[in-house]
Amino acid sequence: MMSDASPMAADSANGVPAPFLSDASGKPRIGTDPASLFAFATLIRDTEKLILDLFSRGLVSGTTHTCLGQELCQMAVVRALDHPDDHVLSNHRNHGHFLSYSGDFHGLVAEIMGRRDGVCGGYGGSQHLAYRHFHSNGVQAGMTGIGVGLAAALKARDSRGIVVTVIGDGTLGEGLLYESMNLASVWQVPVLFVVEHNGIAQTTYTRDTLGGDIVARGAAFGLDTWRVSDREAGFIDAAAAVVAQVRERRRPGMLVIDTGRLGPHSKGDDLRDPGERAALAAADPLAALAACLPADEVAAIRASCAAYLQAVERRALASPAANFDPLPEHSFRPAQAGQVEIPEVADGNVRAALNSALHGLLAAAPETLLIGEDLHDPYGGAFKVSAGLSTKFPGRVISTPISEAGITGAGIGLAMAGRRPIVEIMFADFLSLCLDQLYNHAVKFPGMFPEATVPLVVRAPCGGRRGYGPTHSQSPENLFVSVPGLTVLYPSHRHRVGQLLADAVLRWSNPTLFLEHKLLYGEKCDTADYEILPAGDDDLGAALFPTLRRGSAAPDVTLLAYGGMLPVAERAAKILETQEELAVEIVAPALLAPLPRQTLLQALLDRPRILVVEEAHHHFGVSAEILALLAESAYSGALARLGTLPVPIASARSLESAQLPDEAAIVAAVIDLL
Amino acid sequence: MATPIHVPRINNNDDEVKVLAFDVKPGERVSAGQIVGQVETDKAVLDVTAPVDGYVLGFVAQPDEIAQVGSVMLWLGASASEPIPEAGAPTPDSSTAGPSPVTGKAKLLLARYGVKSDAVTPIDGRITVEAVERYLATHGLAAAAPAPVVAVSRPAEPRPEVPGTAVALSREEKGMAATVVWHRDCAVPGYIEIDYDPAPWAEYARAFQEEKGLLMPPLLPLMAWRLVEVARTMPRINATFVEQQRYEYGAVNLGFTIQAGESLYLAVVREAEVLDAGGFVNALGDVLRRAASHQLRESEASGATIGFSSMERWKVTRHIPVLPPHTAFMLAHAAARNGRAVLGASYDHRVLNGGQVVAALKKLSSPT
Amino acid sequence: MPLTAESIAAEIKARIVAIAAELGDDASELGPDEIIPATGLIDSAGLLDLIAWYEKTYQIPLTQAEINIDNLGTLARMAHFVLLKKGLV
Repeated sequence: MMSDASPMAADSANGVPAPFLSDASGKPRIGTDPASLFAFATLIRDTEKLILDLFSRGLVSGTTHTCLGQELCQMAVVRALDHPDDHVLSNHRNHGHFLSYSGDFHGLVAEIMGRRDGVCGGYGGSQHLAYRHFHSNGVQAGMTGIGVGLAAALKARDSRGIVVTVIGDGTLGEGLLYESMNLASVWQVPVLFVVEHNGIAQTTYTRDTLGGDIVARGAAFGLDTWRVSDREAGFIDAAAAVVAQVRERRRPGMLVIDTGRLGPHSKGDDLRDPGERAALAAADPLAALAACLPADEVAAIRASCAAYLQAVERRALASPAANFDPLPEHSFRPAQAGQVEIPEVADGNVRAALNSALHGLLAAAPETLLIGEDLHDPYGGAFKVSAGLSTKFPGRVISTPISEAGITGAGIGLAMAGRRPIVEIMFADFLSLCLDQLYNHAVKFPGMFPEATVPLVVRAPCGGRRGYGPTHSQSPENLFVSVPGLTVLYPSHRHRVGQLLADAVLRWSNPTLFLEHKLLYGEKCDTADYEILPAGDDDLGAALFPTLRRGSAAPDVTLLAYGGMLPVAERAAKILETQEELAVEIVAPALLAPLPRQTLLQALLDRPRILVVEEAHHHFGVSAEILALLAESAYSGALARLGTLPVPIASARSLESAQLPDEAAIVAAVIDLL
Repeated sequence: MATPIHVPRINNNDDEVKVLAFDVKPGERVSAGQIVGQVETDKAVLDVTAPVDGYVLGFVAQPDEIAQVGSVMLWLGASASEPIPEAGAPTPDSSTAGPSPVTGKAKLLLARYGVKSDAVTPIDGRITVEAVERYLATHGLAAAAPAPVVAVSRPAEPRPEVPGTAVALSREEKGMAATVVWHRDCAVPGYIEIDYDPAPWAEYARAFQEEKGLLMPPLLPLMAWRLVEVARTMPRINATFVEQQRYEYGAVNLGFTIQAGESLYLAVVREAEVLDAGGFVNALGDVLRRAASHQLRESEASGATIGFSSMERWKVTRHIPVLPPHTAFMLAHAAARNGRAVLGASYDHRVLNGGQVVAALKKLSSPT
Repeated sequence: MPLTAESIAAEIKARIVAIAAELGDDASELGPDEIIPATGLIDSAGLLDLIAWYEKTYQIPLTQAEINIDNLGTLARMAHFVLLKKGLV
């Protein structure tokens, strides 16, 4: 049935050889003749039927979304990808894409059953799959920015590969899609957005949720656009031609494929009327293909598929339940060697130190690049941290559209492709726009897929005391420290802040949020009399991003403060020492997550009184975690915490200064603690 | 009426700018729009111009000074002789309350001694540490304080007749003095030793080192570990004497003497009885390294319930150690001679008798 | 001074010679690949002194697990370990 024989052996199940051959990358070779198309499409359909059968027998973990009726639609673009660098980013309805890309039928069935042989070790189930350059995830449009980033990385290294990002028509309601299409157009990168238009999103008809025209959406962003139907003759060739054009033109495009979903969205949620479903079945492209073939050939193909899938099922059933050995406690990759020394700027402030670090990084590491809004000279970023960089490193310091989620996604894609992107978000308050990209994507891939690393650093100025009001003054670390797998760094002028940034970018291959307090930019970098606390053996990243300490070795009170609160805590310590005659110690972490628990316990457990101060809205935040840590470790001294109340931060300076903890508030809290 | 020229804002995000220079002098006549000086931020320099005609009365900010945006930079007047308006009184900051009547540290002291603050006479209106200490001294409370080590008060010693220089003791030397004084004044010390063959111990340590790939020869840590084990089975060697009773400790806090430069430390591994041999060797190694670099933590420099001392390093073949405060047993390890060695112990005779000490030493003389 | 294996090994050796001298031993013939504890030139307290000095001089806090013959057993290994911890190799 194959048009071209390959020396590569395809997947075989229990000695039953796969009824197709694969290329050097392991990707199935699917010919365009009716017999080849029918054979592979039948394999996909029968695999999904098998999955539904297993589901009804209670053998499937969770739920599944099938592409019954859309097999040709799902095969057409993926089968045409013949470059080893080609990427496919898919979504919840991904089995056809996955099988056309990987040919791993056993891996898919075992994965959906939650068995050890599953292609993603049981993490992914039906909708989160990874295989070489194939990734799918379960958030609508969530992968679109990532696709732009991957395509930008391909462009930067002059690869002929392209990225295909597949969405359904329901996803046309997601804003990130439009950020991504715009970015792709602005950057002119080879990404093809494929819209599989089956006219229904879960149970809601697209006609009830979509304004305007679909193809016009692509055209409006300057994308090349095409619209085809998988019910029409020549569809497979037309899809292949689109892939060839995107590969040739090296610019983004949008392909809309009209198709029809025969089954439900997921399970038991097909509420369409029987007449409509019958009409869809009558137009089934597989039936049309079968009609072109002699009956005995159709029967032979079906028999061969059935035999193969029986073997797949047997083998999947024989595979034991997926288990973790041992249960991973985190998904962080260890620190890497190879420090780029960032010289300390003599008498420089934090802004100068960060600027110097970025200069050093861009000069020393060609894989680094800076992405964000208004970074270019002569403006140099809202807080001037990127001043001079766009002039010195043209093409690697990129001012972007105002698309926080989109550029975070692009950063993830670039990072997955081996680059070391630094994304600047102008105000940390806007990180809420990036949350899905961090929470559901950046940290998920390294945790789910062992081969995926996302060395992304997102920098953001945060904090108040400038009268910027409720949406430009916040310290949102409390939200982000709770994201599993996300590193949160929030250094101060007492840390070697430039070196910390350089190490976060080059030596810490984990998605990282790097917070910078606006008021610290003008503070002189000075480690003063701080000493580095010995890092606990089990504390990830604690040696790379040290916690500092100063003051009495037998303190009456210990102030734990970080980031923008550190100068305030120091002023409070001075008052406590001079006016209250107290021996005061300050402990200043820069690494907030993963929390350096052992390091902190070693320093704090024998202290009589501890006050944790933070500028964030602190309920459920960093201080809460540190106090819980101490409580769980049978700390027997007195504890308190101080932060911002759960109300919006006012613009008026008089109100703001009453809201944010200051030195007087710290002194008062310490007195209360005695 | 005088006209102020304010420090201008250059950048949205900078509240402070540097005053670079003034192009005018006090008394000079300027016209509206004339440049009077420059300010700069990290990135930009900005000319400051006169808003009206007038005479320069004087500067408030100075060149090279960092000035708040919006503060007055210089004054212009209608005539050169006009006075500069008085600076307005600074707005009182309502958030900064005055200092409390009792300092924080004084509060802690009052609580420790159970003294009410109104009993204490303030100094300059506040109850300070000094005020509390005066009260304590006049009420005879200081000596009863539950401080860890308190020197027994005694009449001032007469100065020696021979002239010399008084050198203040270091912290460690004070600790040593306190230990020796405790041994002399509080314990009823005795010393016993036995003769033993050190070869099995040496072989045991050698095998342990080889098995674990240790850099440090683990003989002394392993012997100390054996002491912990013996203390677990013989609670009376891990004890002290309090108010006419034997006080058996609930944990074995092993004190280990270590010489670091000029300082002699008793480095303590707390709750050693919950560790296994490997864990103990590691824990003691950590503590000893911190001692060697003079970075012992408070909890590691106090609280020993039993002691271990070795003078092997100095090729000493016998020594009689001093008992650390509140212990009853201090093992004395020494260098071997002609294949034999002695293992001794100083002990508090109120807690232990000779037979008990010998029994403990016999157990300690072999690794198993 | 640039950190090279040679310069580090020379510094460490100088320290060992000084420690050995305190005990009346001469360590000047110590070779780069000799297992230091096996030479008997310095005893366990001397080794402790050496390790504390090593941590402080090169600013590399060690864990117990790292203090083994493989990492620190010879002059050459101690020098290499400095470079390793500093990310220079």
